[in-house]
Amino acid sequence: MPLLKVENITTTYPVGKGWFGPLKHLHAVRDVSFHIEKGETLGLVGESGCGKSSLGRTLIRLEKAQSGKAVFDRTNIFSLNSSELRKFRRRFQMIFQDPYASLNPRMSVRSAIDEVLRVHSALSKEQRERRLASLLEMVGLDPSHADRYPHQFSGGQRQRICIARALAVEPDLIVADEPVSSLDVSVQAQIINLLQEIQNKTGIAYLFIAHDLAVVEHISRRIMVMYLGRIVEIGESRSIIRNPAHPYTMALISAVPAIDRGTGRKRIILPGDVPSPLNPPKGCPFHPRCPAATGRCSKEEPPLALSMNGKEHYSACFYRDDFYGKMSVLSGN
Amino acid sequence: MKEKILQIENLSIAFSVGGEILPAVDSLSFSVSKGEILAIVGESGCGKTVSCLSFARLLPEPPTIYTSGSIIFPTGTSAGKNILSMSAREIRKIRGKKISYVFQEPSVSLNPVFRIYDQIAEVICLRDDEADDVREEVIYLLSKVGIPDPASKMKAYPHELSGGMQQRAMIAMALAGKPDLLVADEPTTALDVTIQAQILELIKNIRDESGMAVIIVTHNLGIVSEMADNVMVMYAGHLVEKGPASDIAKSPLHPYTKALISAVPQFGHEMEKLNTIPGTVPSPSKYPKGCRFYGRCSLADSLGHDEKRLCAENIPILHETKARFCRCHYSK
Ligand SMILES: Nc1ncnc2c1ncn2[C@@H]1O[C@H](COP(=O)(O)OP(=O)(O)OP(=O)(O)O)[C@@H](O)[C@H]1O
Ligand SMILES: Nc1ncnc2c1ncn2[C@@H]1O[C@H](COP(=O)(O)OP(=O)(O)OP(=O)(O)O)[C@@H](O)[C@H]1O
Ligand code: SF4
Ligand SMILES: [Mg+2]
Ligand SMILES: [Mg+2]
Repeated sequence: MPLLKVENITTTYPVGKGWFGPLKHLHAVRDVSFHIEKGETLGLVGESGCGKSSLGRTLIRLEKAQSGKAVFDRTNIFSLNSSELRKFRRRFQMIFQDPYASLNPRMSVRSAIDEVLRVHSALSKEQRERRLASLLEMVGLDPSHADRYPHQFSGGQRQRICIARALAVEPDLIVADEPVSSLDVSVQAQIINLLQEIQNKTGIAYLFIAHDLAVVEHISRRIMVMYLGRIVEIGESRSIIRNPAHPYTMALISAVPAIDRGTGRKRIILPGDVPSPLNPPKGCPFHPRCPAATGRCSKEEPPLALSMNGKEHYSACFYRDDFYGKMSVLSGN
Repeated sequence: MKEKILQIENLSIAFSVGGEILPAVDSLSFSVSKGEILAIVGESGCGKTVSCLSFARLLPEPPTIYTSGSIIFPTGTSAGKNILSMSAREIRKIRGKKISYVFQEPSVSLNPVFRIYDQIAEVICLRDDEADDVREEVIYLLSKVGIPDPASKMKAYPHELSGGMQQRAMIAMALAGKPDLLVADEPTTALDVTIQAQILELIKNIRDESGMAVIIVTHNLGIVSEMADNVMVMYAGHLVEKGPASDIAKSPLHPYTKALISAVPQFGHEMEKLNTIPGTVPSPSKYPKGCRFYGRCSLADSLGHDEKRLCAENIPILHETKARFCRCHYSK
C-alpha cells in the first residue's frame, strides 16, 4: 500500500472579486492523482506557476482542496479535524520555497527548532538541546550560531535551518519545495546526500519540487511533470529523462543549461506565452505552444495514459508513443 | 578595454554581532565594465549577497561596518564617486535608478500590501516623472518576463503569485528603472528552465541594446557558462578565482573551483552519490590563519609537511596570469 495516495485533487483560489461580474476561480491544481511509496522520492517539475507549490500546500492542508482525497497511511488527510490534524502534522512536514517567509524573524534558530521538538516529541530539555546541535551539524551549520536570528544568515544558510526544522520531528513524508535551489552546488550535494542517507535509514518519503532537472533526476525514483495545474507526465526518472513521452517534458529537458557550451544540444524554444490558469485553453493545455500539436489537440483533452516508453510511464499526450528515440537532445553529452 | 562602470577596491565588510567583529568580505577588488555580464559564484555564506548589497549601501549600518576600501560608481566619468562616502541623498539617487536589484528572496523586495502594478509603476515614475503610458509599460515589462495575462496579473498582490512569478515581477521591477547596472542575486532559482532561459535571454538583449552591465549571483554553473562573460569565485569572504567564464569552466585553477565544478550533478548520467567537498566552510569567527580553504583542500592534502605549512600559515595573494586571477600558493 502506498504511503500517500492522492485522488482527483483540485485546488482553486478565488480571484478577481470586483464590482463587476462574479467571483472567478483560478484552478491551480486540476484533478490530480498520484501516489508516493514509503521510502520513495517523487520529483515534481513543471513550469513556474503550474501549481507545484499549491499541490504541496494542499497536501499538508495549508490550502483547502476543492475536491479529492489524500489518503496518508489509511487516513484521509482532508477529513481530519483540527486537533487530529495537529497530531498528524508530525508525520508530514514541508520545506518552503522562500525560507525567509517561512521563518519567524523574531525567533532565533534555537527557539524555532525547539518549538517543533517541544510540540511533537517527548524529549527532555537536555535531549532537545542535544538534538538541536546534531540537527544543525547535520545540515552543515555551526551549532554555536543557534542563538542567531534568520536575518543574520545567508539565503542558503536560512534554507538549511528550514531543512533542519523539517527533519527535527522525523516525519514520514517531507514535501520539499525547492529545498536546494538556493544552495551552492557543494552544499547542495551535501544536503542531497544527507536527504538520501536519512531516507535509507528511516524510510522517509519525499515529494521533491525543483527546477534543476539534473538534481531531480539524481534524487528521484520517479518524476512527475505538471503543466497548468495538470499532471502531463509521470514515470520512472530514467525513462522520463531518456525517453520523454510528452512534448513539454522534451522542451524542458532541452533547456537545461550545460556547463560545457556547444555540446550540440539543441534547445526547443516554445513559442507563445504561458496561458493563464484563469482561462486555460480548450483541449490539451499545452497545445497553443506545442510543436507537435494537431487539430485534435485543440478540441479534445488527452487523458493521462500509459505510454510504451517505459513501465509505469504515463503521459497526457495523444502522441505519447510517437516520440520514442526522438529525444536526441541528450546525445551531445 | 571597455569603459569601467563599477570599481571595487580593497573592500572589506564586517558585522558587529554581540561585541564581536565578524568579517564577511575581505579585501575584495574587481571591476565591471559597461555591457559586461559578471557572474559571482561560491559557497553559501561566502559573502556574495553582502558584497552585492554594499554596491548601493543597502546593508543596515550598524551592524555593518565597512572596514576598508572604496566602491566607485560610475567609474570613468567625472561623476564617479565613492559610494562609501556619499550622503544618504546622493545614494537614493542611485538606488533603483542607476543600480537596480533583483533579490534572492522575493519576500524581501516585494511589498506585501501593494499590488504588483503599483510597485512597478512607482519605479517607472521615479525614473521618469513625466512618463505617460505607465500602465502600458507595466504590461509590457510583465509580458517580457513571461508573466501570462499581465493585464490581470498586475492587479495581484505578491502572495497571489507563484514563487516564480514573484521573482519575475521583481525582475520586471528592476528593469523598469532602466539601470546602468543590474545586480541580480539568484534571479532565476525559482524558475523552470524554459522560463529561466527566456529571462536570461531578455537580460542579455537589454544588455546588448543599452549597454547595461550585469552582476549575476548564481549557483548554477550551467547558467554561468551560457550567460556570463566573466566569473568571480568567492570562498569564505575572499575572491579566490576570476577570469573569462569559458576558461574557468574548462580549466579551473583554484582547488575550490575544481571541487565546486565536480559537485555538479551531471544531467543524464547516473551517480550513486554526488561529489562533495569534505567539511564545512569555516564561520567568520573561526577563519583559519592562512588560506581559508586549507583543511578542505585536496591539493593541500597531497602536499608534504613543509609545503602545507605555507597554506596553513599564510593567506595566498591573488596572482594574475593572462587575465586570470587565482588565490592559491600552489595552483597558479
Ligand atoms: N546581518 C548580519 N549579521 C551577522 N552576520 C551576517 C549578517 N548578514 C550576513 N551575515 C553573514 O555574512 C556571511 C555572508 O553572507 P551572504 O549573505 O553574503 O552569503 P552568500 O554568499 O550570499 O550566501 P548564499 O549563497 O547562501 O546566499 C554569512 O556568514 C552570514 O551569516
Ligand atoms: N493565494 C493565492 N491567491 C490567488 N492565486 C494564487 C495564490 N497562490 C497561488 N496562486 C496562483 O496559482 C497558480 C499556481 O501557483 P503555485 O504557487 O502553485 O505555482 P508553482 O508551480 O509553485 O510555481 P513556481 O515554480 O513559480 O513556484 C499561479 O497562477 C498563481 O498565481
Ligand atoms: S496532446 Fe497535442 S498539444 Fe498536447 S502535448 Fe501532445 S501533441 Fe502537444
Ligand atoms: Mg512554487
Ligand atoms: Mg546570498
